[in-house]
Amino acid sequence: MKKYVLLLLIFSQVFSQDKSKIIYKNETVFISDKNNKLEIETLFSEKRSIVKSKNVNEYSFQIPYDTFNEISNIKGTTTTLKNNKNFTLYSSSISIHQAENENIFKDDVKFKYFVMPSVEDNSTIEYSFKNKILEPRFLSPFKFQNILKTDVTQFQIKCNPSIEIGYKLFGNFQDKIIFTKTNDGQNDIYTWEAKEIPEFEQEEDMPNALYVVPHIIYYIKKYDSYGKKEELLNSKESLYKWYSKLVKDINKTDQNVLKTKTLEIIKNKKTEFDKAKAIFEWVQQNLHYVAFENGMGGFIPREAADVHSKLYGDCKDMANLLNEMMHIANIKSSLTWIGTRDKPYKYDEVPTPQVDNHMITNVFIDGKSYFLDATDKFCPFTYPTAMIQGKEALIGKSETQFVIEQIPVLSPEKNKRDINFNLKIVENTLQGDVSILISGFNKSDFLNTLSTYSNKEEEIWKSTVNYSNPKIMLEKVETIKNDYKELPTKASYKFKLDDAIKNINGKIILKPILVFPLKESSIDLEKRKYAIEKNYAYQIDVNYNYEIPASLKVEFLPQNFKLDNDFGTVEINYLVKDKNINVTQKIISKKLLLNTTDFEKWNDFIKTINKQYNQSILLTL
Amino acid sequence: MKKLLIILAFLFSLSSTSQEIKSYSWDEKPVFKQIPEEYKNQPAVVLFDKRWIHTRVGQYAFATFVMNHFAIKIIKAEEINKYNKIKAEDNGYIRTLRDFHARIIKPNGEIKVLPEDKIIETEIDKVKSIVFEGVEAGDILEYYFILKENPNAYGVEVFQKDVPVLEAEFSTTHDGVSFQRFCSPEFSESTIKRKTTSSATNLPPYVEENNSKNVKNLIKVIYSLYSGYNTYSWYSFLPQYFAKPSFIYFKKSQAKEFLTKLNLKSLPTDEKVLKLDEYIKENFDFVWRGEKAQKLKNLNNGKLKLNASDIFDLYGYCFKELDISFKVVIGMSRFMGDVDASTYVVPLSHEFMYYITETQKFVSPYEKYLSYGYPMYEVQGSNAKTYQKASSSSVSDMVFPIAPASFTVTETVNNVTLSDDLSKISLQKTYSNTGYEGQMNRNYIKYLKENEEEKELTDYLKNRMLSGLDLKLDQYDFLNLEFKNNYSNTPFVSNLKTTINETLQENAGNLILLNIGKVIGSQSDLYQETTRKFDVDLKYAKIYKHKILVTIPAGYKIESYSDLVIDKKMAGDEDKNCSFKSTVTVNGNQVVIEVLEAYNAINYPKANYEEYRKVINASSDFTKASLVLKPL
Repeated sequence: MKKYVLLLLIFSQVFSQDKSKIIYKNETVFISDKNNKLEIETLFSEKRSIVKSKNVNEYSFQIPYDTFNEISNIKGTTTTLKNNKNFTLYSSSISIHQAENENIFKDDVKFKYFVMPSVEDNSTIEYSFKNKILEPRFLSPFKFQNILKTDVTQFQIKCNPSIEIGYKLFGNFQDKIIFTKTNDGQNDIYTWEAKEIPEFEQEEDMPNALYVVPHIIYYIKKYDSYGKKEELLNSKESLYKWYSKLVKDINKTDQNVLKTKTLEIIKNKKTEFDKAKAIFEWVQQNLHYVAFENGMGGFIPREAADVHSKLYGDCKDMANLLNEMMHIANIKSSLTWIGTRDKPYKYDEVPTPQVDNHMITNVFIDGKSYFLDATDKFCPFTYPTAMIQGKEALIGKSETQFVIEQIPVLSPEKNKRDINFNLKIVENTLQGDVSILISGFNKSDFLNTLSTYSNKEEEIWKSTVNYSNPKIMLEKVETIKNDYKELPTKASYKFKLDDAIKNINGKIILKPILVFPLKESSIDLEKRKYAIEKNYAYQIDVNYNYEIPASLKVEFLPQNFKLDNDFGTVEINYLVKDKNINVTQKIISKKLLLNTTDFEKWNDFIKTINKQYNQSILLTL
Repeated sequence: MKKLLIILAFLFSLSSTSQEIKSYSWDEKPVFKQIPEEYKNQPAVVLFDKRWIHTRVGQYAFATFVMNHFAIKIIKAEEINKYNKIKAEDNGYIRTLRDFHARIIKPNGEIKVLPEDKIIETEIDKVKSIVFEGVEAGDILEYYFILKENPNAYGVEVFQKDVPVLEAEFSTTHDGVSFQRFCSPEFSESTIKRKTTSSATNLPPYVEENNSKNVKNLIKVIYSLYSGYNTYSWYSFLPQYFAKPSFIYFKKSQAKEFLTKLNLKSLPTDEKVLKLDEYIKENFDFVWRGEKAQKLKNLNNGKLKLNASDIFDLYGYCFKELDISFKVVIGMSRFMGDVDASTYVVPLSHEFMYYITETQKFVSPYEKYLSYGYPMYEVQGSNAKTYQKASSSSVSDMVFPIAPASFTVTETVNNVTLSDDLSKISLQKTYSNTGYEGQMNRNYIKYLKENEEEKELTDYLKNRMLSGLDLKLDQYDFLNLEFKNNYSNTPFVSNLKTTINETLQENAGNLILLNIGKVIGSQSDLYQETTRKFDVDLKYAKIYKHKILVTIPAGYKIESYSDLVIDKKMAGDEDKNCSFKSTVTVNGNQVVIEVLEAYNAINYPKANYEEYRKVINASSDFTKASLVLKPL
């Protein structure tokens, strides 16, 4: 009887639970240097309770691997709680697939895929596999948070005491992760254990999940080889030593054609700056992004001469081509390793290849350092790309020397939109013309959108003016891209806005603000969990000139307004001069990251902006 | 001897077309069609897109050869990345790649053939691919490949692209099987020496429009293969699958017991069908992907999960047992295509349902949300095939009825309470739906409630019923959530209490403009969509009624409400047009604003687009309209 009561209790516990969860998720890494060589194998195991079998994604798995690791020994069992039956995962149910990534033309990443067998509502599943790591510098992080709530999760490293391990925790819930280090007489055992970690849910515009999901980056600093301490990733110096070795033997192919082309590009360019600009823009214009991530090909740039003749390549191919062309032009230039803003790591914290996912070129002209990234086809010369702002860049100065510099974050006025309206009141409409100038990241963003959606060209051009006020009707006068020129993108239109004027018992209401940057940017405090990331800081200057009919006089003008804080600036000024009303609107958005602690203040900032957008001018006969 | 020669000649003719496809090649010196003036500013132009499928099925043959030959002129450099990578793949399982050639034709006529050693292959599925090297604006990229595959029973070949296509060609040859093809009207067909080719020229770039039959309008060729007798012709397909209901997870005796226990025999037909439909829709759910269908012992055992085809056949069985005259009806979403006059077209999704001849109503077993009555909204007004076993002419045609706008009515009552200084606003909204909207909302909200998906539920309410407003949802409840309300078209009602976080107040001197129109929720607009390529096709005819009640706080008087008075109407037949009308009445300090917006048809021809656009924009204008107040 007692047994039945216990069974009933277990059942009611399982059935009363709303959502599937991870009962445990464990990974143990075994590292040995016994044979003067590093041998690394991990054992992964996980148990889940599945509440609804229709949620197939909760019990189907993709285990990725590539040239640098091998997945083996996949085992799994499903237990249905209703009748306590076990079903084994057969090896014939595990299939191998090529990973598809639209940005990578050839990728060596594959995955082993399986769906746990015979899962019914209220089942438990358990699976495990071995992962043999063939390149000791490529140790994958362990994540303590998952798409399902996790009851218990444990990560362990077991290694000979001669092996020196480095590690660092990143993300949230670090206070829940308990670390211990023991020795079983043979091995050092590093253990990290966490309990009750809630499920992770991706949010729009959040920083990369690596910023919030608790995870550990671990790496081998040193190990014993033939009685000597061998450094692997002991410091950023050892990381660079390896990087440098990877690029030591490239660019051996004959570069005569490349030299001729480079000299042709820089012909008539007098200064190093002009030469560098011409080279950078040629690469931007003529190279097309095609990535081959195949083994070490994912880390070593291809021959500059080949990339030049093919006119395609990935980031490191473009960086290397740029670097070689700069050298041909006698400009100081270096290959530069970098992690985009998707990576939360610094070289001093974790000197491993995990820090980086990108390569650019650093040029040094007239005592100034510039970071050039030709993967953005329209990024202005001297600008870094938006995705690497504020990040550390590892600049390879020579085979043994490097420096780490921080990429600048561009100030808002570098990424500007200037809109100029010249309008007059015609009955209840506003008519006139409008022009817009777009520069900096705003310009590259715009030109990239235009080239991606070339079949929507007209719509995209118009949206530069009417994106926040779709009632504005525009008729094109002129559009000039000014791509690869130090001039802003420019457009001008004839303008018409119906129902813009209200006549209230002889009083004419004119709402002078017509474009509303940031208007819809308030944050739902009930819903939003994570910070909001923005691509870049920007400034929008709008100038409205209203020509007032002779029969009307200005009865009321809203008050001038200015607010400047950490988030941004809003400044609106009104001025009457003869029969013209001039209104200027300045909006600056300063922050690249809005932290959750900023949200309430941010909403107040948006409320203030919207209040100013809602002011009208009163005219009378 | 003569006989032997005939046989040899026959065999030779059989193999000739396969030899032909295998030896397909491009012209050494290609000549392309001139790009018409209208396309010269396009980013790229497809010069030709030729596809050929040869299928052999017989005692010693089971193979398909697929040939793709494609040429594109890159006009703008930004397009290079979209077209410089090619994969020699098709929908089928590739057995061998027989040929793969690619070349660049420079504007000066120079031809650069890509060497074969540039072809790369994926490790697992052995798909070969290549990247065009050294491409610049003005170049023509041309390639062709021939694959040997296992035959596919059917396929969809889409020819229309984001850029114009000057020549589109789809050819088939076959041995031991027959091809049936269904082409967009732009194609014409010709047959030369057993090779049938559908050709079309000057296909415009694909344009996607809201409320349009985008998939149907996409220029494409659909084909299916059959061997010997065409089992997909309606005359063979319908009797084969629908003559006799059959069950997989329960027995006929159980179905009989189920029906007996429902005790429907004595009821009139309408009620019999209604009760049966209600029981099934309330109690039976489909076995979802990932769930395992179970053998069932007792169909009257409350909530059960059933295999979808078992649910369909259970209806048929019950109708038969209850002597209810019915037809099986096969339609197709009018947004996807038209039901073919003679054949079931395998690659296209067809919709299966029942038609009760006596009551002239439909039962939709596969649509969990929809009650016995009108057919699913997607098929309204389109053609259908029907099948009735007992009938002498068992297969016949039908046109689906269109539910009137009065069937699908969305009504809101918005009580707006303003603080004395107008800075704080609370909105109490009653949102009720009937018809298609009501049935879908009822079904989805019931699902969310049963599954305790609280977050999804509040998100749904905010996005669907309270859109366009920055607010806090304080409280909500629902009325008439039970499925039975669908039969009487009783509204599904959501009561929502909210606090608005944003200000609706605008200032003009001492005048205050209260953007009260916003409380009806965001409305779509067509301000920028000034031209239209295709007719407007709506999901269903519908009516919106909104009432906004605002009490003006003491200390203010109403200066004007003219902004809120809008009247736009499409000319023509009152029963088919669309209109938007809002009126305002003021009683003391209470303002009552009423909106009536009606779309009485599901199709508005392109010629009427401008008038349709004005009505749509009127509803959006209303959300921007304000009540003008003045402090006393």
